Amino acid sequence: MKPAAFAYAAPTLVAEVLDLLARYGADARVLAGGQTLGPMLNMRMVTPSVLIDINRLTDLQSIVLAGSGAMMGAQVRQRDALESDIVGRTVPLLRDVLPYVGHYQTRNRGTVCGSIAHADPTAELPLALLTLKGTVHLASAKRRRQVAAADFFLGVLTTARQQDEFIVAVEWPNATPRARFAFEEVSVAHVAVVACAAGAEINDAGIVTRLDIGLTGISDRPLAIDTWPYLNAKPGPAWRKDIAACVRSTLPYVDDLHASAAYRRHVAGFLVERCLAEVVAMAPGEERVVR
Amino acid sequence: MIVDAQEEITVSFTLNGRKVSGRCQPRVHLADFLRHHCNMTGTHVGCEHGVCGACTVLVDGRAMRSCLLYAVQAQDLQISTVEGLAQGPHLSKLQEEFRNYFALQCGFCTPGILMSAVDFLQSNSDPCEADVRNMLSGHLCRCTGYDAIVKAILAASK
Amino acid sequence: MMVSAREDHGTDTPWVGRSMHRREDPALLRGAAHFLDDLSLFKGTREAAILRSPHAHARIVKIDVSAALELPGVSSVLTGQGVAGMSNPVPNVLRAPIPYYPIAIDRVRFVGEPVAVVVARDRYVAEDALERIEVEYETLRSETDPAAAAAPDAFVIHESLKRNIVHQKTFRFGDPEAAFSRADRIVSIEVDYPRITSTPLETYGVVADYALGDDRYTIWSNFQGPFIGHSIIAGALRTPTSRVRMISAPSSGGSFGVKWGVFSYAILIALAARKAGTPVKWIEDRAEHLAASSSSTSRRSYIEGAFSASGRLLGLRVRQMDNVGAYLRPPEPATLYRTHGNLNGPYDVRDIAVENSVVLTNQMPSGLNRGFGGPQYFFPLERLMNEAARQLAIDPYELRILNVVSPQAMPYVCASGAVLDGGNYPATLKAVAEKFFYEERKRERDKARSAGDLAGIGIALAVETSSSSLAYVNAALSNEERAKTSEKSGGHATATLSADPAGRFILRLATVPAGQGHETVLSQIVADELGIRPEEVEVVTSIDTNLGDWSIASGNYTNRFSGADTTAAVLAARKVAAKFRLLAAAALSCLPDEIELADGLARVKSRNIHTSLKHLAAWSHWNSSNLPDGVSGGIIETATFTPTSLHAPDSEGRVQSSLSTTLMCDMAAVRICRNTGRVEVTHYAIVHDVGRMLNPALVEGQTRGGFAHGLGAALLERIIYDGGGNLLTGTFADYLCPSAADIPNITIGHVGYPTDRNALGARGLGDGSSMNPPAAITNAVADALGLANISIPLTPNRVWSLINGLDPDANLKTSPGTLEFADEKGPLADSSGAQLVGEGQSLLPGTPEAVWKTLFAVEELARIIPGCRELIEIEPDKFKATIVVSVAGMSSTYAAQIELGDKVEASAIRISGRGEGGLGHGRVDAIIRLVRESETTTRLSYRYRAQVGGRVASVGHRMLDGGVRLLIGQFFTGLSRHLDAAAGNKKRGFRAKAAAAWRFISGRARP
Repeated sequence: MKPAAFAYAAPTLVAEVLDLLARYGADARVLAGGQTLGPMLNMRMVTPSVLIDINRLTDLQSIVLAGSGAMMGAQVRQRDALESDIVGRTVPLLRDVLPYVGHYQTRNRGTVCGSIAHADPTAELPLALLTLKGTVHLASAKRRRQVAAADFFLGVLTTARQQDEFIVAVEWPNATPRARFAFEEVSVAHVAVVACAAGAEINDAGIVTRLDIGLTGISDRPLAIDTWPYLNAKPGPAWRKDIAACVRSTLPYVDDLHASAAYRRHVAGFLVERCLAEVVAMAPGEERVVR
Repeated sequence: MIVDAQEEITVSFTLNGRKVSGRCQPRVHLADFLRHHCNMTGTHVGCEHGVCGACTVLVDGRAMRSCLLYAVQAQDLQISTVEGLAQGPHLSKLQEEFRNYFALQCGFCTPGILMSAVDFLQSNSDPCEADVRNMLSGHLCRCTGYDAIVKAILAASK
Repeated sequence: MMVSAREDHGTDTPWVGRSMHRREDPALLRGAAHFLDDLSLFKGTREAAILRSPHAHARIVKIDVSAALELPGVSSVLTGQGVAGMSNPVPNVLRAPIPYYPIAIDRVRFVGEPVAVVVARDRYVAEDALERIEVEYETLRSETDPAAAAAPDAFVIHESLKRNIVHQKTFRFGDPEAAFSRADRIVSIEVDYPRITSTPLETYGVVADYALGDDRYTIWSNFQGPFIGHSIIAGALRTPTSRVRMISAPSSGGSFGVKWGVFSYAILIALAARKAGTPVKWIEDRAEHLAASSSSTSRRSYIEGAFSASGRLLGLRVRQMDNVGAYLRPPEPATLYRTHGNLNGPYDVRDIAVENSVVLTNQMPSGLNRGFGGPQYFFPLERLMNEAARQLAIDPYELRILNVVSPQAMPYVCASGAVLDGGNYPATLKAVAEKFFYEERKRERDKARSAGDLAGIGIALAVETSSSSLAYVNAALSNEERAKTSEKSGGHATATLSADPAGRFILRLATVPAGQGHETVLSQIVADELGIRPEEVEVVTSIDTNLGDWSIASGNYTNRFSGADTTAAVLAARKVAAKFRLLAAAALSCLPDEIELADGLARVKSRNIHTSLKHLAAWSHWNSSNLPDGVSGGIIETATFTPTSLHAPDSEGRVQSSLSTTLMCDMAAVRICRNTGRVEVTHYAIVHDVGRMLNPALVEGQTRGGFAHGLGAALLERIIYDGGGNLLTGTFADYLCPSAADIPNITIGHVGYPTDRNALGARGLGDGSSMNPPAAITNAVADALGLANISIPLTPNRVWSLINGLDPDANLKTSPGTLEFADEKGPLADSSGAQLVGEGQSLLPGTPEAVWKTLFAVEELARIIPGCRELIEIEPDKFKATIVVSVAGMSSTYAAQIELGDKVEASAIRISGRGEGGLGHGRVDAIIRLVRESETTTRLSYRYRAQVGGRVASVGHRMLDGGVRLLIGQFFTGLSRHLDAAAGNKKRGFRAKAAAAWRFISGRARP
């Protein structure tokens, strides 16, 4: 399985990347970690005429605390994100999620931004970004713009990224001191089937003041539910069951080779209940043990 | 700045501590370059889509699938393959433990697993069995049933 | 039991029986071993790539390779026509008139079937050339589902046959009717066993060279044997066997039977080399391997057992149908007949009726796989026993104890001919129950159940038949047919042991190990016979057909190593030992039987004198004119072990085709999560009677490796084709093999009842250790769920579906739904199971009449259809189009034909289309309805059925559904925009709403 021939550039400046994208746009692909693009290239599922390798850039390697969020540059490897203190402190959900992303070996090379750009319908990082209401920072030769996660994932392997743009960073909102997070995944032989991420804030009176719930693997992209009806309530078992029922009845579910829509529907509700039970049981800002 | 698709360019990097150099098109993946340009056939190709792990090498000390890296991407980097593990006639401790525990049968998946284990053991000084199995989930072996491999890696960690 | 090299097992020989470290390991650990692709064999070798069929069934109308030949670096292209001109088809065992070539000639019959072979400078260029080959196909109806293919109204996939069932035969042993009539209870079960494949990590490889002047082929490969394959290859190549030299690669990265199928590609690549005029190398890639190498048959079985009230198995009736794929490729129907001699399994039952049939389908041809026919037979048998235990309210373990062959009955001649050559079946079963702590496991299970958990225990037994001859498949022939062929019973093995002038030993044996450690074991054997150290023996295990020491059964096949090959080595070593004794007796002036060989010396037992083997060897070489009478120069002895207990099938269809048998007993305990369907194997015990263990560590390795294969089949693996014959499990992302994280803890015990059928008493091992886990785990799950109708793999999704009374394969079926045209006339009506169905609506600006006019004005359509480069009306309502389809960055150009029909002006229309392009092909059938929604808007609703095949279906199917919906979305967004513009309506909000509205009400989304 050898890829079709491609021209290759490994620019060292972001401006060069943007210039190449402006020129070659639809016929180019950006190569970051290569863990998902590589197989597609090798199988000739994609045949770009130009491959723009961003691994020789120097500006996008960092994780930086900026304002209200942690900014992760395009070159940040998943392993480095997992081991990052900044991430551990400010985006604790990622500590739960990253061990499920691919394998030890793919995390050594795969990037966080690359996974976001690829938008596999079962991927965990897009789910985390959506649930945490993160932001994708895009750049092209013409402009820079930011797209909220809710507007970024449009369909199977399809995002709001235009052909002349690439993701320079993703921004993860800082977890507030009272926030608790949980993540659960059902997979078969490490192939993710359904995963759920949840974040909640519960005040001193035991009332839920903030709730974010997202699911991936159920449809063509990660989906979040509207949690507004479930705020300002006490998070008991009945409350969790209601939310699970809402998840099951309002979201779309697909059949694929590995699981039926009915299975996905059931498991989605089950994982939501589990995640909610976990966030309720945690103390605010509790340090979680990575599974 | 752009290398033409049909053009061959010179690629040079450090392989097991020595400088190597060769010419290839940009699309030649690192596994093929190692095997056929450097004549280092210890790194094996099992799937070319990043699942089986047979092609795993170290890039600047980190285990990666060499079928998902293009040779041109290795420029100026430090690549380590299975051929670099032994010191002359002496197998490394890790290789010895593989032998002690009968952790290989056909041996085709073995080089990739060894390289992953080198990276893993460098970052995990006292791993438990679950950690080792989790790390090994990125590798397929159809001969051994994995148990001996896990034990060998745990033994090598002591 | 974790065996390390430091343990000894109380063996009474110095070396055999010890867990010696493997001599194969240092080279493998260093990456210095040579697998086929590591070798540089011939200067000027070019590389091949194979163009493969994207269709399950089609006529090849035309192949144009001219553009491929123009690509720089391409040497030649070989197609089926060329192959048919240069070679003979491979005959099949049943002499059915369905020739098999390693490439399609005028028709393709499975997705992945070779269509053309490009030879080029390297594999990269060769694959570039594949894309330039133009093939025109006329697709035909395909039959992918075996049950459908077997039905009377099926489409016959070979024109020379009247139906797809290519074999039917019944057998009757004893008096099954009487047994069933006196039964207190008849238990029956139906089983569908899926196709699985053992996927060695190293794929197929062939390097072939053709010497024109000599008319001689040299073929290097990782073919595993048996080397009856050599005559098949030579016959196909129309070349005398002596001019086809086959050489095995020094190392092979696993086989498990799968590399028998290399023979097919050996023929193809040899012909490609001949055509190219250069040596040619072909290294199979993983996608090719999963599509078109070899995999097990799938089998539908209906099995009935006649039981007494106390649980005694009185008789068996079996109806089994094997799906062998699109061709009857040799050695099929061997999979079906592998267990024929031992239809009773481990049980004492003599009244057995069998109805066998073999069906052809548009799937890849089947072949050898780990267990080879064993899993497909013992799974239904053990499911039957499990079900019988449940119905009779007898403990499943007690039911087995009651029925297994007793030690007093050994050797037991089975009703259908096999000989169970020894062992103590009840003791082996007791041993596994002890290892498993059966009583404690039952208590735990019952306690879990009373707490509301799903918990179960399962048992499975199987008999592994080893060192088989190839005779058994001839039981498929009628007596008349068999009389016309030569009788087949052979399974001999040959070994040669020599000593060089320096006293260094070399053992040569024609076997093709792929990781089993043959060299190590053989060195242990020779060391014991000669009283030397294993390091002093070089072992050469390879096959070179130019050396005469191989035969039809040589290679790896049904564990013949531990029975037949080792015996040949023992016999050769004993001959050498005898010669040393003669020489030593002359040197030491005594009688040969006063000599003992130990520590590298030849000693006189009673006196304190000795001489060394090195000295004796040197003498035989250097001073060969002065040897004792009758003793020849040098030391080289060849011995052949010729088993005489193997027989060809008799007139009743009984066959004894295996040298020895191994009883394997497994027990499993499972817990099932109700919510996720995950099956956790909490305890698993294995006791196999391998007789004498030649190297305990290697035995354990084979047992654990076989278990992993069996676990994969039980919980994860299945080859899946869709209704259109597209292979959906085309990569390791979809054909799921277990990793270390998936393997539960298992305990292994051994009982060892040596066999007397070979020199060392070792029973076979390796092939069969994969047979039990599917049955044991399924029996445990059946116990947990209280269900009888369960099929593997027991993935979480399937188990959850079973728990909830749903079809476990609902996700693979697509009902055409209530489409109005779901009738016999539509173009998709013939193909079972369209993959994709969808429906949706769009609110469009304008009246139905305006929308209608726009939709069916060609120039308009050409602008609306996304990616449409060209749209030409060839007839009223028939169009030709070139469309660039781009989804998720995957872009390909398609040549499409579109047809409109069933028009009701401004109200309804049917659109059918088909397209073919680089990434695949597709067909769609859609109905569109228009209804006035308001003064200025029309509601357009649509329903479609689509079928997509080719590369995009096999590797990208997960995205097909979403991809199709995206494309439809693009179409309606374009249409909407167009209608807006036509209506002079510039309201962007409306367009956005329309696009958003359809996005949520679309596809198969079922909120």
